Amino acid sequence: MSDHPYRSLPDTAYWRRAVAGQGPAIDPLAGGFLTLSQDDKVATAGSCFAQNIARYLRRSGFNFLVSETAHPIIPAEAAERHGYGLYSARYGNIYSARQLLQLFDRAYGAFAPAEDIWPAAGGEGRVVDPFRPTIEPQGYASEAELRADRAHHFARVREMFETLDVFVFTLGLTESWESAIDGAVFPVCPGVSGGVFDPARHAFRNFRVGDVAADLAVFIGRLRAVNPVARIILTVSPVPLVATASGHHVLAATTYSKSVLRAAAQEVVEDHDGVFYFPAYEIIMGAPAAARYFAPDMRNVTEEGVAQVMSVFLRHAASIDLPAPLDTPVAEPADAALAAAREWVEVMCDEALLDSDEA
Amino acid sequence: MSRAILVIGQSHVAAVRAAAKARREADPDRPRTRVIHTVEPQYAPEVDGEGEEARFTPALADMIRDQIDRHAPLVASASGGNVHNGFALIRHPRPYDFLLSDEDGPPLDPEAEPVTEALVRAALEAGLERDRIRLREIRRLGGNAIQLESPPPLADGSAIAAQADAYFRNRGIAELGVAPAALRYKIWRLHSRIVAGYCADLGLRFLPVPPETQDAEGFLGPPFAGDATHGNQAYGEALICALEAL
Repeated sequence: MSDHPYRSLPDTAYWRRAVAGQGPAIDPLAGGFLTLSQDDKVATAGSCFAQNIARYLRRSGFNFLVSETAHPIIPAEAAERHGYGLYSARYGNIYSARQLLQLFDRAYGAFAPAEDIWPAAGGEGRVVDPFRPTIEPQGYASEAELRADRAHHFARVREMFETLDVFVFTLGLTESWESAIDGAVFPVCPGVSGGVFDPARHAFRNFRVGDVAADLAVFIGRLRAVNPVARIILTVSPVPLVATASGHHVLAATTYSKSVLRAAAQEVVEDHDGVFYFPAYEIIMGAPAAARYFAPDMRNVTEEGVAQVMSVFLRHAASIDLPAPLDTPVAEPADAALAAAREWVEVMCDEALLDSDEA
Repeated sequence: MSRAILVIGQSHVAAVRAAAKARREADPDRPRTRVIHTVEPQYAPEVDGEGEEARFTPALADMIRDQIDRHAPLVASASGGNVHNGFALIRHPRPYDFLLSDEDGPPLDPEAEPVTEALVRAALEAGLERDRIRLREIRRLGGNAIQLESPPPLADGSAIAAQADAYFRNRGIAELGVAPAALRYKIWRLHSRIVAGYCADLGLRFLPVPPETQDAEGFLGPPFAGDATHGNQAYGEALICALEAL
């Protein structure tokens, strides 16, 4: 029998050995991952799924870096409502690589979008930050208040980039709305949560693999310029699009979007040292899970799913074994499933506003 | 106005009490101004119950009813009015500042951390629960009472440091220093706006500080200061005159 490269591959390279019959709680990480120490300062950003990573890191005793903390006078419940602690700084959800890159450039004064203030949805002279439109639930009282808060926010973002050891970024979307003037990317479509949609000023953009990979590559270069030792973990959010403006069915549009993000992440990892991919997407979306980690709406990920993702993450990154997720039946009672989803949904997810009756 | 006045409150009734005493001594036949200090020992613990069920203690409620029955006074409230001082008299170790909306106010301190007005409001409101209960009870027992705005802060931080009472001394005002005057002013304004909102919800009238007691920037004029946070007899007299003028 002749020898060939497949003879020496580990079990993880074979579907029959690594997936078939293994149950839903699959561990699809192979081929090396970064090592996380308790002292490493870990910062997070990305789509709403990334909030779960922050939550678990904190819960597991890791040094979750929060450079923008609520002032101590602020009650905890109010701080949470105003977006403190969801991520390392108060930038809200960052759905695309372009948005991340532009956040970096805005924080360092390299990009000043022309459209940088929106009227709040509720009117009364209040305004919102187009790049984190739900961070102040009622909007800012004035433009001056917004600009002061933004300047403080940028200082904290710079501090985060310059002091973090590990940056975890969860890629969420390819579909974006951008300014026709200068390409500034908004996390939600103008008019959904403040602002006024104007087809002459706002353009739909569905990023391609090359766009995402290029944006990530530029971001990595700029991050390393201010923090040469920064390591990066990329993940892809398994949460489907809440809505698509692509003209395709939302399921097909989701498949495209996640495929682009997954491919771009792979290319970036292969092209850069110190950049790792973590397969959260595969754990939730892979065939072994058979959709058991989704709530009945087939969009929101249940706490069980998040627990599985984070148990794999912590096992590989820190040799920590979290208690195994409960082996609950796939069909949970409706209220329990909703409760689990609701817990997850408590993470701030302003993309969901696209399908809100109030939007 | 030739009508008795009843002022219900806590520490801020001292100024009214002093002024009323001076009036009584000067002219015993003049309609009297009386005060009820709700945290005096005979009314302890001031409030029974919690939340929507909270009520003044029977002793306190009976005293308010008795005063109203006997004198048919104009009922005013100097209740509360201390949360803004507890909040921002002492310089915070992590200096912060905010902008007032809907009115002119001092600019942001560039050295301080900016906090949005909405979050400062949330912080103040978290400390105002007891004062809300008091207002609700005064409305229930006193009818269409008049809530007196709490006195503005003194501009002079050194005067505050010199006169601060034990509460603030025990909390390190000597070591931490007095908060910037601009922040104290803005916190007082926001506090007043919140209380005025409570009053509007309850159907109580909110009476602003007598303007003659304020300096050009809106701070409490030194001749009207009793200590670091309260008005004096002259301030109390100005309050009584303002009530009489209604």
